[in-house]
Amino acid sequence: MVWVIIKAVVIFTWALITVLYITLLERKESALIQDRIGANRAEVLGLRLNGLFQPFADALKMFFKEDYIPPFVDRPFYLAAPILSLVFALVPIGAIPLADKLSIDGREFSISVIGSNVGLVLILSLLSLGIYGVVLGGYGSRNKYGLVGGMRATAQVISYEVALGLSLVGVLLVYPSLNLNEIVYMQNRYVLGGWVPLWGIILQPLAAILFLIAGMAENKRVPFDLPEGESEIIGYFLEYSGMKFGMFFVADFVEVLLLAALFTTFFLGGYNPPYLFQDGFHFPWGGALLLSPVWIRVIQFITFNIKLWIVVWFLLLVRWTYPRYRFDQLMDLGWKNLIPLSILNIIITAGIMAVIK
Amino acid sequence: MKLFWEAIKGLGITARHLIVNLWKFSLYYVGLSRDKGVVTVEYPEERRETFPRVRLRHRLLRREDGRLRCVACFMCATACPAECIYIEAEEDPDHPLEKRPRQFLIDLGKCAYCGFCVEACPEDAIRMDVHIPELAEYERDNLIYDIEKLTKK
Amino acid sequence: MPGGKRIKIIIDGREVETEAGTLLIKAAEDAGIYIPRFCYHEGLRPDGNCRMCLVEIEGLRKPVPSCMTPVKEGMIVRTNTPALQEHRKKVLEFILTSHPMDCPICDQAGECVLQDYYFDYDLEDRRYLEDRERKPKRVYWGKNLIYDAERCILCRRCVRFLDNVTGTRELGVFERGIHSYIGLFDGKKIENDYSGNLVDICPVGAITDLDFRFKMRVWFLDRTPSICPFCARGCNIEIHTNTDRLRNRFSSQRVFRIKPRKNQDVNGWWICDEGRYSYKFIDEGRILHPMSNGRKITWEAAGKKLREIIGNEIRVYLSAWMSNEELIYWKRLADLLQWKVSLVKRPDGDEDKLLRVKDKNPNTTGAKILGIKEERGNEEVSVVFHFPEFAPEQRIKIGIFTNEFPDMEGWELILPAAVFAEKEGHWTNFQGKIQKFQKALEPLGEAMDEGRIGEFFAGAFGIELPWDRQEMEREFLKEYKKWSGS
Ligand code: SF4
Ligand code: SF4
Ligand code: SF4
Ligand code: SF4
Ligand code: FES
Repeated sequence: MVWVIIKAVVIFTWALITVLYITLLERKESALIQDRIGANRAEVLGLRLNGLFQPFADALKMFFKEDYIPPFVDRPFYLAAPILSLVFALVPIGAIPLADKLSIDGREFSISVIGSNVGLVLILSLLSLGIYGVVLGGYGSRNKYGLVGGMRATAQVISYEVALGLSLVGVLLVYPSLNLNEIVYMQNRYVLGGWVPLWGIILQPLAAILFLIAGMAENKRVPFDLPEGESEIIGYFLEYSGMKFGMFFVADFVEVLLLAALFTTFFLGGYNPPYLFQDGFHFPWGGALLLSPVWIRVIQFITFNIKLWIVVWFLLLVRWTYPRYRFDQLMDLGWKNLIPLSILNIIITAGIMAVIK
Repeated sequence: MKLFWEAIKGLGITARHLIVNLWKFSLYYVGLSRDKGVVTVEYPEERRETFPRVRLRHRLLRREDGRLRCVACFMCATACPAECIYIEAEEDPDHPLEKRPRQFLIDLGKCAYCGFCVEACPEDAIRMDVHIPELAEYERDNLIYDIEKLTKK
Repeated sequence: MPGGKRIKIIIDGREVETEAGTLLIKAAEDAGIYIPRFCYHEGLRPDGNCRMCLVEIEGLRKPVPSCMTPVKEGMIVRTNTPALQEHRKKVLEFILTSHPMDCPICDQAGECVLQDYYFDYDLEDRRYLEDRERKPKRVYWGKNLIYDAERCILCRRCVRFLDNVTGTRELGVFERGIHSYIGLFDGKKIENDYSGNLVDICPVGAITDLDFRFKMRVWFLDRTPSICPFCARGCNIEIHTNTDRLRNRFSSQRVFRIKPRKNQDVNGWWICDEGRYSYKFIDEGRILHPMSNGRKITWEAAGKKLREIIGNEIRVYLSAWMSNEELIYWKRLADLLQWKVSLVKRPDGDEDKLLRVKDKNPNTTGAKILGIKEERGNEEVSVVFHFPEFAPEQRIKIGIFTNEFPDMEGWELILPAAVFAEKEGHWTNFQGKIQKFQKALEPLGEAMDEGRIGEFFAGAFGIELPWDRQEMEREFLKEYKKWSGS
């Protein structure tokens, strides 16, 4: 139990710091895409480092902003919404393995808060709970725009939940386990003379794309940001200010992190860099580099982070490239394209698996 | 499918901007290049050059003998579309030009920077050639400039 | 030259009927054709020195000055041919050879005919490149006037005014040719009672008004027709006001000057200096709130105080400064409440042959028509209008005043009244003419016009007598008909 709490503290701290820097990446990346520099004024002891401390400044600002609760809101819902949003976005991260299990003195440690055997189901179920925060936020604000935002969010998230789940079914067919660690193990196999890893993205390219798109839609970020539409529509967080708004905002980025982490785990071989096995590196050209288990865990954690950041980078690139969908287009994309495609993917995968068997 | 391809191309464009700017700016940042790549002007430290004809804050000119050029003719106040020039005229007892402004206020909070006052002035007494764009104040009344502030360059 | 026989002439192709002997320039003006002029003024004898008013008359080889030419039966006149325009241009060019570019500091700018004509006829750069003739500037001609010889175009209107109208002859033309200027004769100052009119008749900014000097540009002024209240003649005036907070930011002055309005039957073109320069009381020293024994109170409290005096014997001293309508309204009110009524007015003063009359009140005649007499009584309560000095001593004193005066503590109640420029109404002048004055300004502070104060009294005393100015005007006209018919 103590260990779980320690792990929780460490891992969620890591997650939140990562999230803070995702916000920085977002600002910097969008700036560079638009030929700007981006925030670079935050200064600690005279050090600017081109904005490296900006996220902390932002967080500080959020904390000290006036937290105004409008008199007409439905208080319980209004207050619960941002917390729910944040919690349901953050908790699934605890189920994702950041490195391989470690045995010390015969006891097994999973490098994740919840070392569950059904991690995948857990994550999916928690993910779909996240919508409550949004809906309650919209509803509790007692504001038409807020409510419309909330309803739109529900419709969107529920639609894409289906596509998301279905796209993962293909993955499950290829890697028949619900335990995320197992899924990662199974990706650490190599074909074509040991050169090419059997990552999800190679076995299930279509599923990867579908998962990414559906995941972005779940995220409610551009180009699928109809529930909020920061620039003109304004959505479910319309009546929120100060740290409550901050929680919604952070939840948004936590979801980005979560999506990237899931994508890494399912499609990019998880925490394993190529050619790293239980006892060290075994390169296809014959060399080997044997390492102690702890070093391997460290390398795995770093690898996981690297992959994660690459995915995040890509997600932000997408976010800053496309304009927003119209709502009917959004629904069309979800129901008429993603879901049929993922079903098709399941059928084909199942067929191939049957043939191989 | 075509759409899909276009979408990929779009990603390519943003990615190119990102990478090119990142490269150029990184070189600039560590001091290896003078090309910043991005268009940002980091304002208080860097400033864009103002053009010679730019219209910014007003200035009241003086004659060689130190008297204000202004003769309080009210032409500027008449021309001003924002009605933000307030003048009070008085007799200038010792000068051949009999009239001078006792008070000359411009409410820069209302000014539209149209430059009509400069055009209207028959004495070339008012110009908008102070190339200082900063005019932020905590109190609106501080934006009402009097002769003393207006004669400063 | 009235009473002459009617003749017909043709001006610019239009047939114009006029009296024999009228000056051509005047005949044309009456017909709506304006001939530019500098030296001609309707109220002065023609002089014909500026040559701006030249017209062509069929049958004459050369153009003639229309201000010196009486009409003749069948005359065919052209006032605006290209040759004449060219001619006027030359006149202007000559004037402008020695005219300073003073418009920015010249108070006349905006109502200067030289400026106007320049825009109408000339619009050319100066060709005369020699140095301009230097002449005296800033010459003080008296307590109201300042003269600038450089701006003077030597039309001699001022000289003729002092000769033809006032007969005081302080001014003359000195030196010759281009060096001429208008000057005071030795030892003289222009201090007659009509000196302000020189400012009006000077077509340019050579004579300007020291009182108005540099106070306001003329194009910012609103002009409201009114009647001068300072004597029973009731000269027609224009009140020039500016209440624009922006342009008038530095002072609370609202009235900037008084100008005469032409009315051949009453004042001609002139007004006296008292009427012209006594406007200060409109803005200065006004009573802004109801007062009781020198303390400021509200109108409600004033109403309560009024109810306290019900039941006493009351005499109301109406003033000869109230309008016809107000007088008749107050008289009604007094009759309903069984108050006694009498009249107070300013004491008589100087008079002269030109305009000023002895009676220094605008509406003594109106009061006479209504039968309000100057008498004193010793009732418990006296309600006094405008002139605190007439209040009987040792009684409850209620006053309705416009301006502050020394011992306001002794007054039970003082109500702030609007001055004439802040209300609308009619006065009857000493000739029995009913003349209208218009509202130029809003009442200062909480002041109200006397009609509304009357309504306030009626309300406090519990009777229904609404103040309807137009109704009262009609009522007064009935009385007036009775009076003038008798
Ligand atoms: S710039 Fe235009 S708005 Fe500003 S003071 Fe001059 S005339 Fe007025
Ligand atoms: S126009 Fe020129 S001279 Fe006239 S009041 Fe304005 S600044 Fe003074
Ligand atoms: S007299 Fe007329 S033209 Fe001459 S300076 Fe004055 S305004 Fe200008
Ligand atoms: S002072 Fe005026 S009125 Fe007199 S001559 Fe000169 S221009 Fe004419
Ligand atoms: S107006 Fe006729 S000559 Fe001057």
